[in-house]
Amino acid sequence: MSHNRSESRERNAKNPLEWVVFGLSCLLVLGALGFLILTAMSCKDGPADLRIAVSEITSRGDSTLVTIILTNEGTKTAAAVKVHLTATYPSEERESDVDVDFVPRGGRREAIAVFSGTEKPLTITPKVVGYVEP
Amino acid sequence: MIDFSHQRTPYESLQEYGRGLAGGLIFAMPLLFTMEVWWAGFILHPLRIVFYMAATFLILLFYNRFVGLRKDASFGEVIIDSVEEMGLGLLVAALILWLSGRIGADKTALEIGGKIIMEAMTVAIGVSVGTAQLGAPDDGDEGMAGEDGCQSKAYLPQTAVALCGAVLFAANIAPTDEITVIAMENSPERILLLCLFSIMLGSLVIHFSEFRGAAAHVAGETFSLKLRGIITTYAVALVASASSLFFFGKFDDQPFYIMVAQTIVLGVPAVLGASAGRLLLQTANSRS
Repeated sequence: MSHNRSESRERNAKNPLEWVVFGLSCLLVLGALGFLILTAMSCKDGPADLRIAVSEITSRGDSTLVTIILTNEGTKTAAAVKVHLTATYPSEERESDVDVDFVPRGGRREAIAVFSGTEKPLTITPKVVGYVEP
Repeated sequence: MIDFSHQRTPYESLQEYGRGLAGGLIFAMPLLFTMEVWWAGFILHPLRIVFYMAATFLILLFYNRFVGLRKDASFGEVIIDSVEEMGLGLLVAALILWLSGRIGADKTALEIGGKIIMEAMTVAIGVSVGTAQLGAPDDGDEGMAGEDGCQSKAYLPQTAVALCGAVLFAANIAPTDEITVIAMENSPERILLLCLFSIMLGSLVIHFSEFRGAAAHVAGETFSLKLRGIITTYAVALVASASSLFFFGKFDDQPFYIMVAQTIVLGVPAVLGASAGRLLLQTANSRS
């Protein structure tokens, strides 16, 4: 049986489909490796660098929703990001807090802070008050 | 020119890829739905992910050489199969992550790439196992489970298969926070008990419970062979545990005692993979 197997092996070859799958796999694997190595080379040691901006203010029901965008221009991921927002109204200031699980390095995350009342605030001041570098 | 050990029609190849796809999903589904693995994709340094890819490729080579392919597969063929499995793993991981909304245009390339690659490695091992083990018993892919598998009890091949089994089990649990919680919250005495329990579990499976495949694949004719088997099984489990924990970033900034405790805690499932998993990987396709 093993003799027959070794005889038949001489004629064995991959079919075109198998070569196509192998070619695509090579591209994917080498592409993934190349991407990671290039990213690693451009990845310098440093802290997370969080930027915050207000993108949209809308009213829903009896609340005002403030959409903020957090971007991390640093080289480390920021985790458990705490954002404190202060909304200024003609007669008072109101405050709200938002927690964001992660902002990856080079990445961005959207979050929504909720203020009571539908009156549009004069100004919104968002501030990152803390985060962890995992 | 590579001398291939098989000749398949395109339809048979498609069937084989289908088995690989199913295997990849069966073995990696828990990880595909685990948040900590998604996070690892963008928290870990890209170079560590490169090492993770290299380690996974090594595991695939071991598995394909000693279990997944026929005995007469050349080294070139083993490499080709391992690359294909990694490619399929990347595709399957990308598809599942996209379907579950974990990757999309709102994420950066690094986040998307990191998530896909971290998930794809376990999928690739699953593809390898699925391709070899989920087929019909007469399709020739028997590896060492074949009837004349001369290496069925050989020490190094069996150690390699045990490592594959241990990694399959450990990698599914290593990214979770529970391992760190158990390691931190338990006393050293209890961690020691877990260590002893793992050794007993491994011994039970490979030597005392007449587990399916143990007679064919476990060398235990003398006391010293039995002892060597038990120690090697646990050592392999610890190596698989420590490696998985390192690649998922669970050792970062931890004191040495916690690293050891984490390794021992993860050693419990890993020893099951190194013992029962190792035997199942070799017997699922055998005729016995």
